[in-house]
Formats: sequence, structure tokens, C-alpha cells
Amino acid sequence: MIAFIQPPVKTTRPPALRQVHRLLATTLLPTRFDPLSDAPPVAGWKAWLFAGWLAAVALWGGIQTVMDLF
Amino acid sequence: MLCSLVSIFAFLLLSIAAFGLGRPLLRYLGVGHATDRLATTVFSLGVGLTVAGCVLLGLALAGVFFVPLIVLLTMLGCCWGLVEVGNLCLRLSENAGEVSRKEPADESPGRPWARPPRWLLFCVTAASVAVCAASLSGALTPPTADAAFEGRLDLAQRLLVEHRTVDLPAGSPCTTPRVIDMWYGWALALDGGVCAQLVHWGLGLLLMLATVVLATPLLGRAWAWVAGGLVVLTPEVSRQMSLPTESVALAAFTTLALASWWQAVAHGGRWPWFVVAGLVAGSAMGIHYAALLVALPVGILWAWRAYRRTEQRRFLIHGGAVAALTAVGIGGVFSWPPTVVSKGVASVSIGDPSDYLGMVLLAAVPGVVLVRRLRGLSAVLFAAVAYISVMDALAWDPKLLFPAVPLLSAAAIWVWIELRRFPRAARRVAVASLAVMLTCGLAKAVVRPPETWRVALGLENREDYLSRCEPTYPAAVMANRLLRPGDRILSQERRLFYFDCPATYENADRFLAFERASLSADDAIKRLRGEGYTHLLLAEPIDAEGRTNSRLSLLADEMFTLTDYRRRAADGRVRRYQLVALRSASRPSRRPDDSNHVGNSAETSIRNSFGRQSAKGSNQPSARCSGEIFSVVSAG
Repeated sequence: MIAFIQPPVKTTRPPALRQVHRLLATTLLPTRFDPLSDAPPVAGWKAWLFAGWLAAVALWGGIQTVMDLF
Repeated sequence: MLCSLVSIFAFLLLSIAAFGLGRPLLRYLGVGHATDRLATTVFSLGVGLTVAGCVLLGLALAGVFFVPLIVLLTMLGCCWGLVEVGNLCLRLSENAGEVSRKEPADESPGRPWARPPRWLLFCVTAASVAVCAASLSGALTPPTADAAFEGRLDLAQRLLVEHRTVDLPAGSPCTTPRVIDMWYGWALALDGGVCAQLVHWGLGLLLMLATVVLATPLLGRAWAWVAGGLVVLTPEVSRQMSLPTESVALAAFTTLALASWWQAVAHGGRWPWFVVAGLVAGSAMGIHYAALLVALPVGILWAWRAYRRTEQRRFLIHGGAVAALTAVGIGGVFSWPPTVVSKGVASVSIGDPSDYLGMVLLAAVPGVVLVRRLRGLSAVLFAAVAYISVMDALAWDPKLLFPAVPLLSAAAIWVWIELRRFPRAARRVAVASLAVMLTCGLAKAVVRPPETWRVALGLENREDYLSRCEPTYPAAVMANRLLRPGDRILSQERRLFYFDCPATYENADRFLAFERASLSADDAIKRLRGEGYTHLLLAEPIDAEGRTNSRLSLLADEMFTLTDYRRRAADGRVRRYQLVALRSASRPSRRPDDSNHVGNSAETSIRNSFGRQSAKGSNQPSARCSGEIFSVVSAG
């Protein structure tokens, strides 16, 4: 005998609550679609060269700022 | 605090009136965004300010630059602006309902990169708010010698005093009224110097929003907000937002012109966008000639695109001609008669470019050679690099480099996006370095002298602050209380902003020739009286022994002195400021005792009235003179 299945009841959540749920989900759950999956990674030496350049500029800028302000 | 609130209210009135002028014109041209509230607001403000500048210039040329007329027109524009704001909100709420029923709000669904992380958005927003608050505190402090040194505010004040365009002498830094002088004159008519500074601060906000509009087609709206935040985090940009100069305004309008040009060309838009581009580009040219140097690389890009895209060639040529004609028409109105190009005050080569172009931007932009190409970014980078190269070659004022900042910001953000493709450790080092640089920029931009916070928050009276910091202020208070309508001052001091009477600055050569003539006091008085002057403002430097032995000072000692004091001027030198009436202090018809008595009683009355005025806390020294003081001086 096949029992009658009661169709699911749609809960009516207020828009603000739905927004909160969406915010929580995007914050806590991992991203379903990784947009960078098909993008090739930057070569290691290039990445470290640029990171080193940024670190050097940051060091110089930090010293300059401390000298300017104090 | 009440003074600050009044100034902010006047600034809001001015902004709403500008929006009310610009929005109908955009709607007439058919380029108003139905759903993009930000782009609508930004372009409406840009076009509205351009139209307002033209109207005010018309008033000045007609000789009817009167405060009541300007206030009346502002009120009309403000009422219309409020109607437009309500109309815009109503339409947006209707559109928002339709959009939310169709799909959730996602501004860039097709972009192959992720949105910025929340912590980044939060940090950039918090830092931008802090920087804008710091620059707002500076803008709420009355302009002093350093701020008025550029001359724009002086020229706007002359417009308001003379009620017409004035021909300033060749030694002045600004000789012809430009569109920014009209906006400052508008602010002075509504409130005063503080409101004029708020106008420039508001133009800094407009620069940030224009950057967001410019970067949105390239990077998406979320990353474009980060790009806009980086612009105001540039230390010198935030510093200039507090001062009534022209640099930030130039950057805002060139960015707006590029954004509208982008709408017209890069995305196959409609030709009315070329009219909008021409209008705001004309304003940029009316602010400073340096806008022509931005137009140069943009013109090259336009020609290249017209050459490559044969199917769009006719559209591009017609649209470019419309934009160029509109820009030349608007810019030519504010640049006629042509004068020698002002290089700005500090005509030196770039000393520390990180202050003017931003350390983060200069460090990150070279990364574009390591990452993937983004469609459209090469054009933006070409315009930025070409402009910086030309400006560096010409060695103009480094503040005029600001138009390149939004372009570099878009490129830097693309490099930041591409950091996700770096190995994890290298990415962390790069992000940490960028964070350190941002913190350095934030520290430089936020740190302000404590007195600016005190004045902005109302803990110190504006008059007390000006009496302490502005060397010409005591003489201005004296002149505004004593001088009658029709009196005119010949001044040795360039900064005449706080004088409500007609005053003419003459450069040192004129006074030197005057000294060499070896005239007696009576002859000098006759000669200057014949030229229409009634008073003389001297600002003689004091030598090491604390004396001023120049011929001028000796002559002034023989005249009727209204005020005589010593202050350290903006150039660091101690000067003796003397405001003298062009009449002899030893006339035969008057007894010597009388002159001393009259002088002392006038000084006492003025001192008392000055104290009363300080207690009132008015924004500028009042031009109204009490009958008591008039009678005292007339007797003298």
C-alpha cells in the first residue's frame, strides 16, 4: 500500500532572517565554486620575487613613517 | 561646535543644489542610470557643479556676484535637488523590488574571480572612514596662511567683495577666475572659509566615488570600493582634502571624465556619454591646465581604438568631436584670457612620490607584469604612466599628480586579486607587506595637529585660533571694523582673505620702487591717494636686532597708524604688520595730543569690540562698523 505523502510545508521566513542565514552560510561554509580552479598558479620564483619586493618596500616605508612621526 | 554644524549644513545645501542642477541634465541627455544609485549621484554632482560654475561665472562677469542673489539661486536649486533625491529614491525602491524578486543581489556574477574577503572590506572601510574624519577635522578649521597661500581662496574672496571678476596683478599666483574659484565663492557666500574647505573635502569624497565608478567595469563593484578606499588612503590626497586648493578637485573631475569616456567608448555606449565626458573634462580644464596632459594619452587611446575598430570608427570620431568641442567650450570659458601656466607653489621635481601617489600603489603596480592581462587595464595604465612621465619631465607641482592615483589604484587592486594565484607562503608575505604599507599610509594621513581637533569639535573658538595662527587676522578685524565703504587698501601682504574691504596686493617691486623714490610722507600719501587707495597694509620683515629700518616703515611711522604688531609669518620670518591710514599723523590742523588721544581711544574701542566679536563666535570678521568707532576715526 502506498501511503500518501504530505507535501513539504514552505516556511515563510522574513527577509531579514533569510539575509542573516545567507550571511552565516557564506561566512561559515566553504565556497562551492572555486573561480581560480582553472587559472594557472603563478610560478614560484615570480611570486617570491614580487613578495620580496613588497616586503622590502614595506620595511623601507615603515622605517620612513616611524622617522617622520617620531 | 555650532559653527561647525552650520558650515556642514551650508555644504550640504550646496551639494544638494549641485545635484538638483545635474540630475535633470543627465535625464535630458538620457544617460541616467536607472538602477545604479552611485553612478547617478556621482555624474549628477559632477555635471551639476559644472553648470553651477558657469552660472556663477556669468554672475561675476555681469557684476552681480551678490550674496543675496547667490543664496536665492542656491535655495531654488536645493528645492529642486530635494525633489530629485526623492524621485531617485522612489524609482530605486521600485527597481530594487523587481530585482530582488528576480535574483539575489549579485553585482558581478560573471567575474572569474572571487569577491574580496570580508576582513579586507572591513579594514579598508574603517581606514577610509578614519582618514576622511581626520581630513574633515582639518577642513573644519578656519583657513590660515598656509592654506590660503595658493591664492584660490583669496581670489574667490575678491569676487565676493568686488561683486565682479577682478584683474589681479601679475605677481599673484592666480590671475584669472577659474571654475574652482566660483565654487569657493559660492561657499563663501553661503557660510565662509570653512565651507570652502568643506567643498574641497567633498570633492575628495567625489574622487573616491568616481574611482569606484571608473573601476567597476574593470574589477566589479566590490573590488572597486577597495580601489576607491586606497585613493583616500594616499597621505597627501587626504591632507589636501582639508585645504582650499585645486589638486583634489582636478583629480576628481579627470576621473569623472575618464569614467564617462569609458562608458562611451569601451562598452559601446551611446553618444550622450561623450557630452557628459566633455562637460566634466571642461570643468577639469577649468580647474587647472594639467587636465590637458591627461587628455593627451586619452586622445591617443581614442585614436588607436578608432583605427582598430572599423565598425565603430564613425561613432567614435563623431563622439570624440562632440566631447572635444564641449570640453574646449567649457574649459575655454574659464581659461580666457590665457595666462602663463601656473606650476603651483612648489614647482619642484617629485621628492617622495609615495606621499603623492601612495606607497601601496607604487609598490603593487609593477606586479602587473607578473599577472594575467585584464581587458581594459592596459589603457588605464598607459594613461597613468604617460601622465606621470610628462608631469615629472615638466617638474610641476607634485600635487598635480593626483589624477593618476585612481588609475594606479585600479591596477594595484588587480594585482591584489591575482595574489590568490601565488603560493600560500608568498601570498601571506605579500599581503602582510601590503597591510604594513596601508598602516603606514593611514598613520601619516590620520595624524593631525591637536588644535585642528579642538577647533573642529568646538573646544576652541575660531577667532581665538585665527588670532593665534593667522598673522593678518588682527589687521583684518581692525580694517573690517574701521574702514568705510569706498575705502581701499594697498597691501604688501599677499594673504587678504579675511579683509572684507577691497584690497590690492602689490608685489615687492612696486614697494621697492616706492622706497627708491625717496618721497616724503605727504608726497607718498598724495600719490597713493591719487591712485584711489585710502589705507596701507605693511608687512615688513624684522632684522636680527628686532627693527624695521626700511624707508617704508619710517614713512608709515609718520602716518596715522591703526594697528601695529609683530607676528611670525608663514615663511617663518617675524614681520611687523602695520595698517596705516593715508593721512599724516602730524597735520597742522590737529594738535599732537589729539592724535594720540584719538589713536588710543580708537585702539581701546577696537579692542573692546574685538573681544565682543570673539565671544559671538562668528565665522569671519564682520564688515559692520559701529557708529562709535566711525565717529572716533572721523574725528582723527
